[in-house]
Amino acid sequence: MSEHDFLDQLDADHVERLVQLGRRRTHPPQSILFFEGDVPHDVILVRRGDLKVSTVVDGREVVLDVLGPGAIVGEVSAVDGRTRSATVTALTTTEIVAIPAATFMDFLGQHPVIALTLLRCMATRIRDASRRQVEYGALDAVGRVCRRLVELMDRYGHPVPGEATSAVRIDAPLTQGDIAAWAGLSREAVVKALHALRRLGWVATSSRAITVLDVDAVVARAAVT
Amino acid sequence: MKRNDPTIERLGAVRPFARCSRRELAVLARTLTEQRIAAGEVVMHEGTVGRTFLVIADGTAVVQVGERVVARLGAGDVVGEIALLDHCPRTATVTAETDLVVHSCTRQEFAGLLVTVPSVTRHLLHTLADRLRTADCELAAVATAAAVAPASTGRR
Repeated sequence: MSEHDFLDQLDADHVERLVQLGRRRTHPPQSILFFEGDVPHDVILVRRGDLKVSTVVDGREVVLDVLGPGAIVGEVSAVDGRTRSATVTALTTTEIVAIPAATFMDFLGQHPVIALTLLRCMATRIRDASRRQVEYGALDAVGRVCRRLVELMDRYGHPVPGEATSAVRIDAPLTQGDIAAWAGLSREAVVKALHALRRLGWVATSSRAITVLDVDAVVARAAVT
Repeated sequence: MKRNDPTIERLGAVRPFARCSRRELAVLARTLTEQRIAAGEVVMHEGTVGRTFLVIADGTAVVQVGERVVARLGAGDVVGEIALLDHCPRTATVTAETDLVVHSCTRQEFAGLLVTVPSVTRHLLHTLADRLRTADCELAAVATAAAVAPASTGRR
């Protein structure tokens, strides 16, 4: 996920100049920043909080990505002028900067290095989407849940103090329904997979968090060979 | 720069460079190498490190992931830009289906072009935007199919 973080790859001066082009907004949890099919107006820079990017196919939600501070959203529509390809929802209180699409594109034209950074972020996202397609074919439900747990550990994991092994507690703003929509699974399949992982002793779950007790086992199970 | 330099004329006829100014075409003419690739020759191998960017001026090529043909490329299509941008191995094998005429450059030259020839950068932004939309659509379709199919929870 971190490779997507457009702002983290820019120098501080460029970030400051970009931020000054837009307007700051705060979105409460579960608010929708824009809907799939909307006419694009802004490019969004995420300053704080987490967002999910999702689409609906045959009535079923699919989470395409989960983004955090530093990410850019809505750049595809800014580039090609077509309608939004996905719905973007705040998972937590989210602070963003919204830059008019035309202003953003002008800025890119004047700053080729920033355009190059954006191209790199887009290339990474294309590769991630291909990797996840392979993952859906190659991993079963437990494997896909493990894959998501690895990504959640990277972003939201905290080492659990006092544990003999390297247990990691995940305090993620995603519900089991979100994880299901992200793993290409039904919610019931996620519940069953977590149950299987608990029986193996690899994870512990509570109403508020998932703790990965055996990180190596979960990472190995998430690997696509 | 000669007014009717044939290299510049040829480059200007290739889609990614169609909106380039004369000055930009002159930079491209100095940077890119015109190459002929025989039908059947492998242009780039899946899994290898990306060293080359190329634009097809004439002919067609087949893109394969493993044994599966995932796309066909023709005049105006760009090849190899993803691996040069993200520094990861090639995701597919590209093979000349017919004899090809391509304009190519190295990784360093490619990075230079993106800074000195804004028209190429704009074209690539559009190309990647298009690919991203396609990739997300395909991902959503695969994810939906996977979620509908009864997924095993046991070890495979």
